[in-house]
Amino acid sequence: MAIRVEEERATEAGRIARTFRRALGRMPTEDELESASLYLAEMTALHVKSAPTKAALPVEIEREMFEEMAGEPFTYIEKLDVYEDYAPDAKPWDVGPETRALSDLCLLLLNANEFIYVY
Amino acid sequence: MKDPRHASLSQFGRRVVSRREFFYGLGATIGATAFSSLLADEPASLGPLAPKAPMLPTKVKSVIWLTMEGGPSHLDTFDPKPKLADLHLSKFVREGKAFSAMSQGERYYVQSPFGSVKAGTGGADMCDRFVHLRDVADDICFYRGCVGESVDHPTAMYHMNTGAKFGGDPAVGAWVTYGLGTLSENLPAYVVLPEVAYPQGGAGNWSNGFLPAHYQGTPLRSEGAPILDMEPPGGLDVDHRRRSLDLLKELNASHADRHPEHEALDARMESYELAFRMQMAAPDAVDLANEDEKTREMYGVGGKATDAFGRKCLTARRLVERGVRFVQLYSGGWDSHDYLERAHGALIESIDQPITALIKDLKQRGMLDETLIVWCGEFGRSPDNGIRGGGIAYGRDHNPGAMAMWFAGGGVNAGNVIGATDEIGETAVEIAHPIQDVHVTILRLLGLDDHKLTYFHGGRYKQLSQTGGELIPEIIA
Repeated sequence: MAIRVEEERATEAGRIARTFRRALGRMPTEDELESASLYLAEMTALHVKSAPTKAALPVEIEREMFEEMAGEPFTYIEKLDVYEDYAPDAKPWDVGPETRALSDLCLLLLNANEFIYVY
Repeated sequence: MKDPRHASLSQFGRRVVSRREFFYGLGATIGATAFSSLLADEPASLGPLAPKAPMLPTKVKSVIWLTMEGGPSHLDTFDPKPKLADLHLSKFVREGKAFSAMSQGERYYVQSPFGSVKAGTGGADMCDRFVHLRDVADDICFYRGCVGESVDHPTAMYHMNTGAKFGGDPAVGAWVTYGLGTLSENLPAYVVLPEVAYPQGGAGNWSNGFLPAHYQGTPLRSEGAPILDMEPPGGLDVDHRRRSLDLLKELNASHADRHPEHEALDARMESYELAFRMQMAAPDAVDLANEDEKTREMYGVGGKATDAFGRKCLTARRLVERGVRFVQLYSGGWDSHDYLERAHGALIESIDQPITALIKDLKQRGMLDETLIVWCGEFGRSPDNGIRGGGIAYGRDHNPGAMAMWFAGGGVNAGNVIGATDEIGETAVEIAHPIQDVHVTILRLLGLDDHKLTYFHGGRYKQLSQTGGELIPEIIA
């Protein structure tokens, strides 16, 4: 969502407005625009300080079950073939601090009550 | 009190009332008024979980509920029946309506594979595999009179945990936290320590039911990270989360101003704040490395048989120490239809030392009087068994007519055995009470009155005992 918004709008104010529009279907108020802008600046500063480490996708998983009659636990390996041809979306380590900050804002709006509850 | 609805009246000059709310308001005015006045006494930070004074005098502050899932056999734990040795392998004939719901083929009496001992000054009977628990028998009130209704695990579990067989009603822990609030700002009020495999009936066993979502049990996983996704992704520090939550709060607050009639919005905002506080406090609460070696050893942490339940018991003590109101621990696998000696023997070994350590530890810390410990399953087991798998591998079937249960800690009639079953242990005959009476008694031990601890739902005031129950005075000191 952050990458898409970045492609759609060039200025910070434009991107914030676009993010609100995409998540909540409305433009931000003046106050919200100001708060979000401040938030982006702070988040960018934090992201500049720490780079995410790349994590590999699991290709198999160990599962635990209990034997039905004896009640003994046992484990087996399940192959996750769904990941064989899997093309993941962009991950935090693929993008810069500004995009990560914008994705924080996206996540925040998707967690907002206004997005989650429709009245 | 400050009601956001009044604020909205002056702000917008009008207030939108939804159709549902209008009709609800017609029936619930008194309940809403009573509930509003309850809310008025609470400090803002804890919301509906703010501590409330008990209705009746009590010393008890918290509950540790030890659930043996699967139906522990009372005959092979705390209610031994020597008569079964005489009848061993003679044909079992049930009369009339008492015909077992599980009966199939020919059935035989089965003796206990274990011996029994008289423990404590009260001489409580106990299977001889409990080599530790006998030391604390004088701190325990054994009860043999509880009678269930369900022969199946999930319905029996629901009945024991929620007072109703069908699931969907609030669990005892939810009622208790509704009645008393929490003493911990940073941890959930009601914590569940389940097995890797959830009990039959699943998370419905610790549901808030129709009570507000704040009173729902929070399960901590028995292996790995206790709470999934508790640890933030690498590189994100506290500032990052705090700042994000602040902006979210700001957005949610202005949204709530526009929708003052929806209380769920507040609960959701509060849950984010609790999650943030838990990120600080929960890892420490469940980190047993902070305990000294002697204590861990006492609980059997690291022991082959006792490690899993020992960790749970020690965690439970750490949680109640930090103000958690209600902790429920599960030990699974007590459904011994066959191989009774092997299965029950191993399970008794796995809980014996940990539970004894819990009682001793709470006592030495002066916390036993402030804690109520409950031990029970969902039903007892039958004195007889059918032929399974072509041979007789001695076991027992389900039996809600009698079960083993005990209480320890604040306010219980410790050192005594209450109630009795018939000579083969099939049916409770003395001081026999249904599960709801046990619930009423537990609430009373916590200073709560079942008839007053009510919640308006579905057109009437509901309570844990469903339609009321009797106190079992013999259990109370």
